[in-house]
Amino acid sequence: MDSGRARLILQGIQDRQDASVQPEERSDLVSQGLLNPVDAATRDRWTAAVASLPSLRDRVREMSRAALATPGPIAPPDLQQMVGTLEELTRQKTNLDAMVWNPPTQEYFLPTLAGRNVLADLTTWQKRLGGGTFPDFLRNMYDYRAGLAQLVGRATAIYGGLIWDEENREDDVAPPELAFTNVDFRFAAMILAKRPINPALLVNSFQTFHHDTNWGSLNKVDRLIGSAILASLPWDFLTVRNAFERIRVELEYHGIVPEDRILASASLADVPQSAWAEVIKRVDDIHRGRPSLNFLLVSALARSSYEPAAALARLEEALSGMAALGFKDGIHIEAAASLLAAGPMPREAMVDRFAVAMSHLAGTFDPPYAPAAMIAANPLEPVEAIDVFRDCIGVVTRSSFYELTLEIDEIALILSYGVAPLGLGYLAANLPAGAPVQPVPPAGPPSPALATSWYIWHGSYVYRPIGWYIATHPVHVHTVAAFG
Amino acid sequence: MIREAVWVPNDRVGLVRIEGNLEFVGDPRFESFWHDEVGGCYVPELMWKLAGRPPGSRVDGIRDDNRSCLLVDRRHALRDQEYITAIKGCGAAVDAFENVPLTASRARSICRDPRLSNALAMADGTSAGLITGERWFGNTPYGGQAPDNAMIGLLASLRAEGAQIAGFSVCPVVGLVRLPDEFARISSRFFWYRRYDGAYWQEIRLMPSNVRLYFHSPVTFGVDTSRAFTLFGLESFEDAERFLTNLARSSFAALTLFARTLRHDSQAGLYRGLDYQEVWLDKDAVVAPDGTMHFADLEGIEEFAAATPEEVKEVIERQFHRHVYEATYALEALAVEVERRWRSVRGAADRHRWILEVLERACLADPFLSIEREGHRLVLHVEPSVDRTVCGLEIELASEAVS
Repeated sequence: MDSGRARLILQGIQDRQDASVQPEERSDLVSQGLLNPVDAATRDRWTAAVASLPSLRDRVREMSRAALATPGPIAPPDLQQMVGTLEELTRQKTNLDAMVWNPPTQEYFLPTLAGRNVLADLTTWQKRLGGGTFPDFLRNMYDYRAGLAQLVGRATAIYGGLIWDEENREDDVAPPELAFTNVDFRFAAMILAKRPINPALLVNSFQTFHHDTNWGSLNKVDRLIGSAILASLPWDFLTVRNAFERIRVELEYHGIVPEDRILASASLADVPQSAWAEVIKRVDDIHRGRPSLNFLLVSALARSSYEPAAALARLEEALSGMAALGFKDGIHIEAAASLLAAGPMPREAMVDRFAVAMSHLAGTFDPPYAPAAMIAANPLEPVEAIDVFRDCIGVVTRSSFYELTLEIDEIALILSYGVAPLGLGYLAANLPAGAPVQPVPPAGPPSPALATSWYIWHGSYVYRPIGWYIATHPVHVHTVAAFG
Repeated sequence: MIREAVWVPNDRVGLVRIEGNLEFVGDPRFESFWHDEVGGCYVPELMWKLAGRPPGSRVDGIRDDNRSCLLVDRRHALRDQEYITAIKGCGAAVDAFENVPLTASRARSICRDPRLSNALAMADGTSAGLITGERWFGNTPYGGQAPDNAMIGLLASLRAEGAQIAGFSVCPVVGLVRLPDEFARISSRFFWYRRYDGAYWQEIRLMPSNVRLYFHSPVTFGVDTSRAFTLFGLESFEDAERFLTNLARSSFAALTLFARTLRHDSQAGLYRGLDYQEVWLDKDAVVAPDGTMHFADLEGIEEFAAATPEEVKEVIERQFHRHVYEATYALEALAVEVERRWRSVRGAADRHRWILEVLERACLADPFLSIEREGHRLVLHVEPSVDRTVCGLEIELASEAVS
């Protein structure tokens, strides 16, 4: 059975319509627990039993009233038994209301919870089914979700390593204002988990960047984001640090202020050396074209696949389109517009995709503009990207990879970057550091597997507000001195 | 099988248990628990030192809300639920007028007795908690408990069978204990503006958890729903649905408290039932590990009289609408978390449908209410415990929401 047919069947039964399930289709769906068959005799028995439900309910209620009027430790046993029967009859009534007759197999079908979930998956990904078989679809979705759980498992191991390492370091202990919190370490661990090497090596790499880099800054969050991104790059420490520091010097020569330099250079550290001159020229051009634009956003546009003039035109269009929807003014709006402008979608689709993402993210992030733009700029359809994001929220929550509730969405957003079912994973695909920016093929390190800018966006416009909130609100924020 | 009580870790509070000849008023059902487990009053360590360290034993409490502590190793089971002992009125953790800990140095700044003030100069700066003599919210000592309020709570609790009043789940009150005069004298010397002129009492109650609906816990169900799920061990959709069933059933029992406790006082010619007085579900109720909402602050539950069936209906309707938002918020919070975790319901409409379906089932055996579908509406039929034909009424639960 192909996936399209499976969707039609499950949708039909969900809508209580005849889906004409053939015997061979039946066995696929029933064996997976996606449909429950009910024979006619059972259905008749339930129908007869349910007819007594109203009178039983009335008797139970009258007996309960009588029991409550009479002091006693517990309800009488016959009342307890009747309540049990009432609950069973109610279940049978619910089943009767939901079941659908299937003429080809002469039986009824009941939708199951698992069936409803698979139907939701099939509906979300229906454009991508492409005639594939239903068993392949199920396996693919299973593997994808298992992969998410494995990634969180890796992040958990890395997080544990970071905590242990920090607690057991003997050399120069960071001053308290620079010490990372558990929340910081979980953020870093989730970024690092995307790099498929031994967690212990990732811990070591992060700590080496953290402790052995001359950051020239006392900004803790810059150091956190910088260390996480640099440690996530697939090269050795010296190569990455060398690239990072040389780009930082270059950026200084090009007038980028110190407070932007760490993250701007970290965001470009995966660009091959042969392309640096081109990227920095673009930085200059974009900065000239829009002097007020934050350098992090300038560098995101500079490494996009668009020439500076085109990138700035896209930015203007994104800003005006967002303003028409009522989203205007402020650094977070500007960041969102830049992310949209740097994204791979056609310019006419930018704002529509953003609006779809915004409608789904309302109430999750505060402010939600940059996360919505990150979702909108991803090569999946917005509803698909939202679906992946929600899967990620689920796995982060179920894995308890958080302490504060407000961490969950932020960590899930990192987890969602680059992953998708059905072979649609897109690491780096939405941030083409590549072809248009590189006039000469890279001679040294291989082309980066991760698009570092994405994490810069996340760190600056998603993590930083959360970190600020946590730093300025006591954990026991809900326990106030009043009432009670 | 007995379900264990759960509690969210919070700040440790050093208390000293004072036993001996204490004035105590309690529920006879808990007499042996009182004598064997919790008998005594519990004073903050700082006050014990100020009193000259009379005989007593140190006890570790866990901060619960502002003026209460949990004694998590003193537990008692009622039917199939275990409860933790909580002492209400054993010292405030926070200054009454600033959001800062009520430390010894803070206490010194409101001390009206030079001898005590001098003694406090020797105390360290840790947050000690203090029962003060500031008159607070009517006539209650800030950090302590007033006898009349405590007695209202005990009287309400005495109406419970187990931990229920006609299906309404409560945190039962074990008893009330009067603070010995030597401590009351100390407390009365600490106040900011207005001195409290009454006796100082403590209320000993039993709680199935310290997870409140929305306010006043380190973890609240409405805000930290994901952590509450972990705490309550909800690991599957089926677990969550059982929890929702209990939450829905108990919430609707709370919303119909007046109707389910209604009686007719033939001497006075009045109807009487329990109503909420300046208490709310969001801050005054806790959620048990199985989802059953237990009302904790029983000092805010008193009898209310209605003269006619029409007035009874008005009270029932007012009580329902005054609190239904808080209850619905909790149900929605649960459904949102289920969607986030397992994606078993998807989207707002699906969540509402699920909640209403579970609610219908949950209330099926409730003798005082029934939920009926009427077209696209869902209607709650409230049938009070007496005179249901003239005092009963319908309340719309959901408009245009049922398909």
